[in-house]
Amino acid sequence: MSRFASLTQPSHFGGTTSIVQFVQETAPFYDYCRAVPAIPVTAARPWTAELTLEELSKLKQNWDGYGGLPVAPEGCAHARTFVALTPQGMLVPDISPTSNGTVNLEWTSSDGEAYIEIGRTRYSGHIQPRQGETIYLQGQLTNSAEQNLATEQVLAVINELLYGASSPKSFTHSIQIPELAL
Amino acid sequence: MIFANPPLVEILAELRWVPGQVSPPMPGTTGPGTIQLPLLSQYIEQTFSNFLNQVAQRGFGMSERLTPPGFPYIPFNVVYRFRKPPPQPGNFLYQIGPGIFTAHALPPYRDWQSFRPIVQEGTQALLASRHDSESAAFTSAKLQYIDLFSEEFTEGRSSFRFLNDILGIKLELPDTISTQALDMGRVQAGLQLSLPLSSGLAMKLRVYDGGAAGKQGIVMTTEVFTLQPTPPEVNRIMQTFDNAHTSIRTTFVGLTERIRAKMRPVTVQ
Repeated sequence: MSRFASLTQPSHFGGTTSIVQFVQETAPFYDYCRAVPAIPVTAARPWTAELTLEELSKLKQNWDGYGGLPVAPEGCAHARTFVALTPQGMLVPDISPTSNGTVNLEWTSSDGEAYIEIGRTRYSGHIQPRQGETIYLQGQLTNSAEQNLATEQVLAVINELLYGASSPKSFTHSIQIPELAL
Repeated sequence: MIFANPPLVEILAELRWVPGQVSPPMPGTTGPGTIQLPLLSQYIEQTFSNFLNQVAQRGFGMSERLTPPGFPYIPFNVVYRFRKPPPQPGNFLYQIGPGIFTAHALPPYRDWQSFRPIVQEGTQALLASRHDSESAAFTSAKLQYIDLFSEEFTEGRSSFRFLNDILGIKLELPDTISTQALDMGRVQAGLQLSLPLSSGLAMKLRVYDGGAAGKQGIVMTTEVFTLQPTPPEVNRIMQTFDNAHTSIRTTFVGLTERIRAKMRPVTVQ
């Protein structure tokens, strides 16, 4: 039995935790697999999200006619990070401004909904899975490292709960068993 | 009945939960607390340290860190792996990470009755290890079998033929395709089935060309998982895994009936 002395690849965002290592050998097969997802997965629309955020950043005071505050540039920047780090297979969120000058991100799947409100220095929100209790999230976004980490972790949790169980996840074409270096 | 020559590559039992330190509910509210992200390392590492002690007491005293210290934690990615030390390391191991626990069985694998206690003890260790703020229900429980049907089992059949002739999953190509094929015996096919089960669980079955441990063949992964949160109670969790095992075994035994002799069935008294 040949074994490969490599660590199990970190399986980003809810991928397999199998000891065996999964490798996609050919793009055509992968494309074929992606063509039959268990849930509807639309193409990512980062350009649309970028344009939306660009427009949000131009909003003036009283943009909604009810005294709405302009969206904080920091909030827009944080929202861009969320969009940029959205993992493959997960929809880019719907983006909207709030009268408080924050940015709302919203994801919807057959497994539930998630809302994240992003401000200058912090975020808060909740995930409502179709099954189970609502999960409330919040945290600081005070520096870039913290922001990126929080963003990646929040997206991982949303991806797991909204796109995890029924998603195709990683389609595998070849398996190598890594050496158990113990 | 067990098999002396199964095509098994690996079995894994997996539990997932939402990681993160939970702040108390707001005064005057009765709802759940709020999870703070990013994850704080002291909470996560405390859970890992507790788990290390728990599994060490159960003989799994060798640990391997899969993510370097100081690296950011990504939810549902394993950080530690544990197994028994020599001279008898055995073919079972545990893994843990933020929001994830897995128990694995590798060849030589005997049967579920030999792996079940490992899963149960690992689950008990986990329940005793999670930080107080992580005592919520498990969002997912999954049992997965990975099999590789090598030449010994396929006897040279393509995946298309194997699906039709051996597994009994009938794939019929329309004339517009089949009439163009040079040789139907060389057609490759992959399959993904996802179906809710009457037990309340769900099954995902995949069959595709692949390779493992230096052998090429046809990989079949069968996983059964929960669709609803599972309470953090060992008996409830093991009942879920038992139900999942029953479903997977029924599926496997039924699908592989035509190559049963090659798997050398053994009747257990």
